[in-house]
Amino acid sequence: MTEFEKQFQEIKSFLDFEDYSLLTKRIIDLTLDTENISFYQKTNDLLDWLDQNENNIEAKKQRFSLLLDELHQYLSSKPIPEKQILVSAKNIKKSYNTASFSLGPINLDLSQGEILGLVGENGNGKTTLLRLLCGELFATDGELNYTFHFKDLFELRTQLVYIPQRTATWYGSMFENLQFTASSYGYKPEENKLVVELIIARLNLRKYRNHRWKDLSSGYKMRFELARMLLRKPKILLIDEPLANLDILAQQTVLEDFKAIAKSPFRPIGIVLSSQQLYEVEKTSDQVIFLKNGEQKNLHAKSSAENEEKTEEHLIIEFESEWSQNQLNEAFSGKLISLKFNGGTFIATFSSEMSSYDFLRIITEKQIPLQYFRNISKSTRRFFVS
Amino acid sequence: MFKNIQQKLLLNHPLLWNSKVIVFATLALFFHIIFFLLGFSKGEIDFTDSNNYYSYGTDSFTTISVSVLITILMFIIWLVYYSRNNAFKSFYPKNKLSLFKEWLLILLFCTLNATYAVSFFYAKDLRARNYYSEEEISKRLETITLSSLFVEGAFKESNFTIEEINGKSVRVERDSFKYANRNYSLKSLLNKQIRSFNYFTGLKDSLIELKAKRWLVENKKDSVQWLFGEFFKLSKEHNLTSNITPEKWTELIYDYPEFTKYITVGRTHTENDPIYNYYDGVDNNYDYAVETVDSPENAAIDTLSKTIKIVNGQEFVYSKYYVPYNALAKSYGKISNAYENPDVDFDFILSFIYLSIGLSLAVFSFKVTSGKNWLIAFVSLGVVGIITGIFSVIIGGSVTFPIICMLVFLSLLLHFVIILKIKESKGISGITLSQILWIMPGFIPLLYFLVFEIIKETSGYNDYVYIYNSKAKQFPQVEWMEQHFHDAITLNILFVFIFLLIISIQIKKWKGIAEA
Repeated sequence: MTEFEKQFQEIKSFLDFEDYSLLTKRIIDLTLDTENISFYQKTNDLLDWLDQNENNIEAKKQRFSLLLDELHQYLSSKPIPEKQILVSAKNIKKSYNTASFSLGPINLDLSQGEILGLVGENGNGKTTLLRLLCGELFATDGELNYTFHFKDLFELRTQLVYIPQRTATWYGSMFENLQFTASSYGYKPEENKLVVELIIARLNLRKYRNHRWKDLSSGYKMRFELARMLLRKPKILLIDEPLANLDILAQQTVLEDFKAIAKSPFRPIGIVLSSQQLYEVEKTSDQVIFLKNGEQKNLHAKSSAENEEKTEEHLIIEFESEWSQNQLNEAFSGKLISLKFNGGTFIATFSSEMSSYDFLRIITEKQIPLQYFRNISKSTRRFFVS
Repeated sequence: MFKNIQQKLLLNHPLLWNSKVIVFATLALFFHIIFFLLGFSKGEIDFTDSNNYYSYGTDSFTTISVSVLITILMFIIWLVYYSRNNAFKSFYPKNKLSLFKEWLLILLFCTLNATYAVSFFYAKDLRARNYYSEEEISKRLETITLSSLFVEGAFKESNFTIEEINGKSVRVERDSFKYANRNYSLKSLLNKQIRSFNYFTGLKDSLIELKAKRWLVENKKDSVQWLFGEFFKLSKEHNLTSNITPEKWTELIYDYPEFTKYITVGRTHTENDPIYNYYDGVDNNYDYAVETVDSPENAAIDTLSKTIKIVNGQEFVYSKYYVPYNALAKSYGKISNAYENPDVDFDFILSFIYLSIGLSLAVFSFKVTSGKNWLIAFVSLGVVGIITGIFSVIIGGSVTFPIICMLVFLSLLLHFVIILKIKESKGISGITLSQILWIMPGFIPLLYFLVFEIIKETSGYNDYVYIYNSKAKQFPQVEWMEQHFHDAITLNILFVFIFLLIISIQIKKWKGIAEA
């Protein structure tokens, strides 16, 4: 089964479970994959129809089903490009004459369809690495190779879209701004409005398309930046703290969006994102790089084995309990390697022979009050506490 | 309408939409039309105005002030809209010539927005030129010029000459002069000067004078009579009055062969020679107080031709006979000026082109670098300018300042080229790029000035002292340089365009270089 067929089955299940919100988004993704104006029109017609007939379930299901079939038929014959490596960094470093901080050496490979998460405490080089990868900073050492075609550095940076944490203000109507981006990127006049409408709907911005920048919350500003990014068709999207201003639900949604965008079978892109939301990022990313004082530590990286944390695989549990450190120490005696109290939570390290089930058994046996627990043995969270 | 146009531009020509040039250029054209119409209306000539003074009025000052105000306002509003989206800064795709096209659009708007006064002054002159065909104007100006010999006016030859006697220059008094192999009294009409219009060259003036004086020498009274007839035709066309007829005029002045016994014909009916007149206006309700015909020959007033009138107790001298010469000379003088000395001449246009280029480069440098870089570039260039100025004064010599300016330009250019070659970090090149763009239009003129100064120095022009009666030394190179200064300044505009074409391609490459 091809990547497209897998994704299509997943999309079909949204229809079966009547999850129209997700279904709409994914249908827009498929529509954009077609790069065909008649599909742009059909999906836009559906979106307009939905505005008036949200509660007409039967008709809605029928229309979605019909469009989905048409999209499937069209895209089944469309060739799926082979995924290529986009950028390869070998021992890149960035140091400054005037500052004591330096980044690197960093090694990474990023391919089409991959998400690379950058985590680490503030001031440890996440933004610097993003700026290095997008060409805003130059590497003082090492090799940074982009494997796609570009004539000059301007053209390279055209294909690397960097969205900083603080985005610049947009002036005028949001819709016009996006239309300007679309026409600058070569969308034909007849498809411009249709594509912009689709992308706006894709990011749940239909209600806000004629708003002014100052009237938008920071979360919606980020979404508009993402909308613009989609129109720019980048090879690599580099985005600094995209989750910072989003509520927990919006964070999940945006990360799911990233996943769908990056893993499009027909238009795959590479995404590098930095975040403090470790668990969310880890769930979404194919690679995670933890940065501590500018140095790289990888989590389940496939290609940079030399940077893998070479530690024995202990069981590390993060949990919250009303008990004191002494009481817990006693309760886990004999099994514990260490127990640290870290900002309201306990981090308990056990030998590799222990499993989560063993931990839960002790908790139950000793009737230890437990508010929350998480196995962080395979999470970069452990780097934060080590 | 603008909304629809903008929407079409947004979909088809994003650069035009972003630059907002179509909307603002249309607005600018609208203002041009208003200024043109105002100028056309102000260019109306009052053919009856015979005052000797020219009223400059406040039109020019007001026009220039209002146009500057509109220019500034339009410029600021346009800049606000134009700086809303910076596709270049956001790394939107651009082809090789995109930046050059963008500069051309900026230049187009800056030119249109900076030249409202040009439309006004051009229309003013155009109105004056459009009263009659050029052929007709030439004919009429010749009639007025010929007639000037027969109205009150200055004499040509003075009452003495310098003659060389025994090797010495001696002043010799005289009461006659030689013309066409005959001696004439200094008071003869043959000694009168013609009134020249700048429409005619000096040579043409001489030919007109020769023509009139030949009529007198050759006793062609009918030609003189014909001339007065033509003059009166003009007067009648403009509803100007006279208290004589062409025949009477001929009778008053025609005194063949000496042309000394003639009555001076006044140039205007309001013309007066006030004895103590500080007033502009003349009250027509005057009383004839004195009217003497015979007066001593050396009296201050030629009472054969003049009369004294007392108006409200004030004495005025009037011509007894007058033709509306002043009114025609003044009005046709304006038409002549509109042809030969218009407000909008090549220098005027050139200065506006340079102003527009300067403004466009200021905006362009802001667009391709950043506000911060622009400001630092401005301040640092100002500081360098002041230091260079002081240094040049201390060192002395006219070439110090241009040499330093050119060296600064070449150094900045070299720095930019190195940054482009190394491709590591832009560093301060955003600042230096702005300065390159600002100094560049002055490079060729500075180079020209420098070469000119060197030629003057090496050819001995600066040390040459002209000795009276000796043959003047020729400096063909210096002359050539002087004559071709305008050409150099004009060609420099072409250089600016070529430079912008080349550097805009390089700026696109430069933009891709890392910031730090």
